[in-house]
Amino acid sequence: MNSAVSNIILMLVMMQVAKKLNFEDPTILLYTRIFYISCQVATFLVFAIVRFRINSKNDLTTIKYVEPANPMSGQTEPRAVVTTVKEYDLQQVNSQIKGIFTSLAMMGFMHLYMKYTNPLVMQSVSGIKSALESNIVKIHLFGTPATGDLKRPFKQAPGILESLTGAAGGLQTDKQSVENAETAGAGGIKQD
Amino acid sequence: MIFEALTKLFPIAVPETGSLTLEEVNNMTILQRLKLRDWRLEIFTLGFIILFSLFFKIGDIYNQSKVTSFLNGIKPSLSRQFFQYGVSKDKLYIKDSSENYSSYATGRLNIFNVNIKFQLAPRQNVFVWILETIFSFFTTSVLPPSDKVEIIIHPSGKYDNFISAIVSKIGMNDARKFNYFLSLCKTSDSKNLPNSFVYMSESNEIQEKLTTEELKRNLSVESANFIKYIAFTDQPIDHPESIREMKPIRKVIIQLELTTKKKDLETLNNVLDTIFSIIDKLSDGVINFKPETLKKIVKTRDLEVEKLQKIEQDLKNERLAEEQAKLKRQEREQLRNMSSEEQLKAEKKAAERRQKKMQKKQRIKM
Repeated sequence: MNSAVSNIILMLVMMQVAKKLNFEDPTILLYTRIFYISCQVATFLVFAIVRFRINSKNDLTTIKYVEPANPMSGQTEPRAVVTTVKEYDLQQVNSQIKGIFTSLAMMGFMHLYMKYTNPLVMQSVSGIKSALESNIVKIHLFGTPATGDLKRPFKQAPGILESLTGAAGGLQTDKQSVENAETAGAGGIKQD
Repeated sequence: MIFEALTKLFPIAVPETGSLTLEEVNNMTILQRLKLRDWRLEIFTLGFIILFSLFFKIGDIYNQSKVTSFLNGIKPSLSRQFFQYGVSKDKLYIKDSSENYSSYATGRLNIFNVNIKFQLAPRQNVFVWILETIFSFFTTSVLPPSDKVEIIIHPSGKYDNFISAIVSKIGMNDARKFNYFLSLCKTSDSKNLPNSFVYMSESNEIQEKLTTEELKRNLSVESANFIKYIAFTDQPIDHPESIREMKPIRKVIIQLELTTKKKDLETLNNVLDTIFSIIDKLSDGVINFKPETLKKIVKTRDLEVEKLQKIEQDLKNERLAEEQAKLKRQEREQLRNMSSEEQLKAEKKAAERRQKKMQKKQRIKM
């Protein structure tokens, strides 16, 4: 099933579940909190295992691709990236782990400060679901071969701005553009 | 919070000064009088300062010991190769700060000097150290603290300008990002090198010829853990902003992760010896390159110069446009300040001028 479709179904189901629960009851509240935290810990563990696998595989195959220009972050020209499979994978996992922390912070604000409990129920399952669906987990935990959609560099879903303007974003991997960007002298720019 | 905890830990009964009469205070010794006041905040502050200075000293000494053992570790190679190793006869290094050290070697054929620069983790300042470590995980603009050593060799012998480097695959994208000269190069894997290294070079011929048998022998898969790159370059590390900054200065840069392991230092000694002998070979013309290769390199350099020229031209145009806009604005301002009659006159004049121009144009056309 498509992950977007299953996400919506999951969301609807969880909304119904959240409706049925009485969050005024301290025991239910406690269990909801425990459930949420344990889901987050499980997600973190999944990524920790993946990290460990990547490090023990130590795949030093070189990969090259061109990152599109991103004027929002002050990068005016497309930049060639030369990296190894190991480093690329670690970067992917690290950004996922960072995601856990940001969602924890968001939830902390929503739940502890704004006193919403519903999102706690929704986020707990969807977090672990999206973790298990991510490319990097598919490769290293389920052992899916890294071909087709899982070929590195992974395709990125177009951002809101790009889909609005219809600009040709996304990574380029063809030989010509990589070679051009690689020797373009884009390094050593002082950022302050 | 801290203060409450302190109160719990040291419940000092503080007699109120108000309840004492002048006579009683007069009869007290200095120590007794001092005890009247609550000194906990001062004690806490003082304790903190002492603790911080203690940590500072420990970190400082640790950094220094690292530098010393590294410099002593590469002594076999450098003192054999150079007349002078160290900043003076009996001093091996200069301490610029707790995290910056530098050393020096000179007195050898074909080489002006060798600068050794250390950039260590801020161990002396525990807070900065911890903060940098945490921030480096969340943003890419803060680098995780590490111990870096840069050995920069300035050759005095003459050889051709080129860029060619052997780069560790660990963090090679960062190497490309922070070094202008590496971002001019093509990256390629090669059977000549252990699979933890890549070439970044302007031409295949150069990289093959520079990788002597000796160098091949000395590099192993594990060396990539501490050798970040070994680069022959004539271009700067920072992106040049003017054509003057692109002036070729030949350098050999060896960037390392500071290591004090015996085995690593042994490898490093061998690698340094090899690099010096490669520089000799280059200067003596034992290693030389095909004219086509050199022509190609010059061409890529010209392209870079053109890019800079274009940027400079654009800047100039922008400045000109700005000046013209300013003139126009001034004219308009003047008009506004004039009386209505004067304004009319000025407008008439401007209209006449325009007409004359038109006529001129027509005449030319005809």
